[in-house]
Amino acid sequence: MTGDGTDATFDAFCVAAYPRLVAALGHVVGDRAVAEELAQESLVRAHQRWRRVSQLDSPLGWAVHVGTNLARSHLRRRVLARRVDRQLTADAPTAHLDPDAAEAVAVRAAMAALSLPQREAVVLRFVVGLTAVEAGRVLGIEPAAVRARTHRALGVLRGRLAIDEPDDAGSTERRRHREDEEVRRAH
Amino acid sequence: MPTDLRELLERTAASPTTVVDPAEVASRSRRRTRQRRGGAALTGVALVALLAVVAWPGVVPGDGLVIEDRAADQPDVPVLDLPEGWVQVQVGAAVFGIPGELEVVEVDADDPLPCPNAGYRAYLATESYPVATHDEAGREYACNLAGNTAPQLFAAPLTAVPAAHLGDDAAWHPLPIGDLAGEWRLESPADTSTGPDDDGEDVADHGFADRTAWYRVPAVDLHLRFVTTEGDVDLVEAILATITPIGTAATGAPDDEPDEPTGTGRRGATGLDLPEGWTQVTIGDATFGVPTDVGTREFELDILELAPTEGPPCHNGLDRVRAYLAPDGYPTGVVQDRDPGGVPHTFGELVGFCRVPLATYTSLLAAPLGTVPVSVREQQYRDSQAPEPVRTAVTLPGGLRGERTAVGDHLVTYALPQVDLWLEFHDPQREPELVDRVLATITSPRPLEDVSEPDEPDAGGDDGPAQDLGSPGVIWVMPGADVRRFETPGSSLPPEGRIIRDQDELDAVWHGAGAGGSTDDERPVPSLRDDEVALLASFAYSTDGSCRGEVELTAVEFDGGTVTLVHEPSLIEPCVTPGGAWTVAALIPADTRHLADVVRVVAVERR
Repeated sequence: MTGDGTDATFDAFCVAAYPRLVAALGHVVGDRAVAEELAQESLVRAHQRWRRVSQLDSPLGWAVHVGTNLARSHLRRRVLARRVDRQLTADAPTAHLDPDAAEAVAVRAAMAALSLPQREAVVLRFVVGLTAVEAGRVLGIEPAAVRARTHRALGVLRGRLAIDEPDDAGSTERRRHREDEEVRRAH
Repeated sequence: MPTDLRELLERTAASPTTVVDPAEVASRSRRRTRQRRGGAALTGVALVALLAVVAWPGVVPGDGLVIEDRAADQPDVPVLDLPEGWVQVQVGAAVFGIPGELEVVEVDADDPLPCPNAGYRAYLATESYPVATHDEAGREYACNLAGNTAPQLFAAPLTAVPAAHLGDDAAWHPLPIGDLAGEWRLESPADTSTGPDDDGEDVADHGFADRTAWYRVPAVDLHLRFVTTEGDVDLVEAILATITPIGTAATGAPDDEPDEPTGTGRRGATGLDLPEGWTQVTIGDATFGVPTDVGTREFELDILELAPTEGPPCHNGLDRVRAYLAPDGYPTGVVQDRDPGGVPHTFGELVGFCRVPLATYTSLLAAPLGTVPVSVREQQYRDSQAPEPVRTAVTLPGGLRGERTAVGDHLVTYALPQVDLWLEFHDPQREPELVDRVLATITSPRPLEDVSEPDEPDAGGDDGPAQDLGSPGVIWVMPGADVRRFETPGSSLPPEGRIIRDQDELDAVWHGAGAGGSTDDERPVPSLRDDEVALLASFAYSTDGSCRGEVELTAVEFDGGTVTLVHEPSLIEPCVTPGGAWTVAALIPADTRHLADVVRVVAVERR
């Protein structure tokens, strides 16, 4: 325990995870302010369950999932509903967002075209860097379902962004394994 | 110039505008915990911090919260009129009062029960039941029993208490608690032996056996255990008398917010004349009423709560509330985070941790029919000991037609394709009138489609351009009438079924249609017997670059026969080619006249 009564391992996780949480959840909800709030709330919940969360393969993935669930099940119906929904709409005004404008706006619009589960799969895999197996553990679904979500998401993203990301759905086991390894190495 | 998606997402990711302070996060976490357990009524309670447990300092609502707490979603908590010096606490879906002189101790799931030496004490486990190992729990419990002559109260959400701890094999006796149905039992002498205490003496010998009383009130998800002395019986009864469901005697909602109970799903446009205490919800295309006297909530994903989509539905949360509403899709999972082990498990392990629902009242789960996995609709994962499902066609009072499936006495489902509604009643035998009352309220906001006669006698062979699949569509195919097309409102192009009656035609269509999906044209053409016809169901996908459809083909037994699927459902992969068409097939006895009961092809738009 640290001097202020917190767990040192949680402190370290908190500091390291927060920027990545904001980045990941920013892609999920399309709004940095909301993402920051979700990230903080996720960390609060992680703290409340830290003894268990710290034992997980990917506490960060867990926190991203919590944040996504919060965006879906809680905030959407509450105060931030309109704010989030507006950001999730492809043709929503985006001028107030990041100054790097064009590319960020394009990514945001492309991500907004995905369903929330698809968005979450993309974020867990390509932002957090989890393999399909790891993401499946976080989401509580089979790796094949993660790949299917990713596959569909990439299909949409390819139509909107100039990306060359290889697809992983419908591939052979060897390709899937290789793809998982590539993701692992990249992070 | 194509770029790597990872790099692109990293380059365009949002950066935090502030630096997070772990100490502040921890502080907020602790305040959150205290707020959940306390409330304004606890202000002034004597504070005692013992070991790692938390007492309540009184909390200013909303103070320091990052965002609204989930507790803010709850209906207003009633403020009880309590005796002088009592304080109000909240556990499960109930509030009740306890004497202020009781030391209030929160018990975390990960901690064993603390061992007090003297004095009154109320242990409150507001979210979960302590999961200390058997030995630890036994030792601590023994400590409690041996070290106290003052009353002890232990409270936890009933659904958080493992069945083994409830002692369900013991005799529970009905006990009305106010307007609530409760049960109680005395711990038998044999049950109280929790092992030797520190002095090697079995605690059952201390003579406390007849003074440990257990109470459970399923309607408010409350489990209480009293360890008392004889003179405390009045105290126990006084505490029980204060048990009040959350959501009753609630203060009014602020004027600027809709007075909407928690989790009522989407409000329907149709105003229903509902019984008092019921609320109107909309799931799929249906509007209906559900009772809110016990609790109704939209199925929420808290943390890792859902199992795989095709996993066995283990509704161990259904005992918490009367109605679970899933307007956005069927929740097929189990609660992972609330098992006694406390660690999320893989799917295979998870099954073993499903708690047995407390079948003390009827529970309802409602979701859009189009989102319900085939495995769930067909009860494929029912317990091996469960009776075979019995399916019957039904017509509801409002004219809706559908299929009722009963699995023994404990589960009845209704599939109502006209309004895209799926209802599961668990333990309907507990409150059969509730089932009838809910079914009687179901209405459609638009005129019902007549599914008894086909709109067009033959829609086959029309290979029009692919169009947006639109909303979930369901077709019910009847070979006797050649083809049946049922268009779900909002769908620009429903799935299309076609009946093929001879092998030559099947050969031609099979190759021409790219049967089995555009990625797999190599599957052999099915052999069609004289007494069979083939059903080909085609689905057109979006041409705008997105692919939003998934298809599932299933079959059920009918009249002693079985439909032969050319492709097993597991081989039917989801939407693979934007802008393409996709065909699934089944072989069906040619004399089938009521194929609506036989084959169901569902195109689902997953969101």
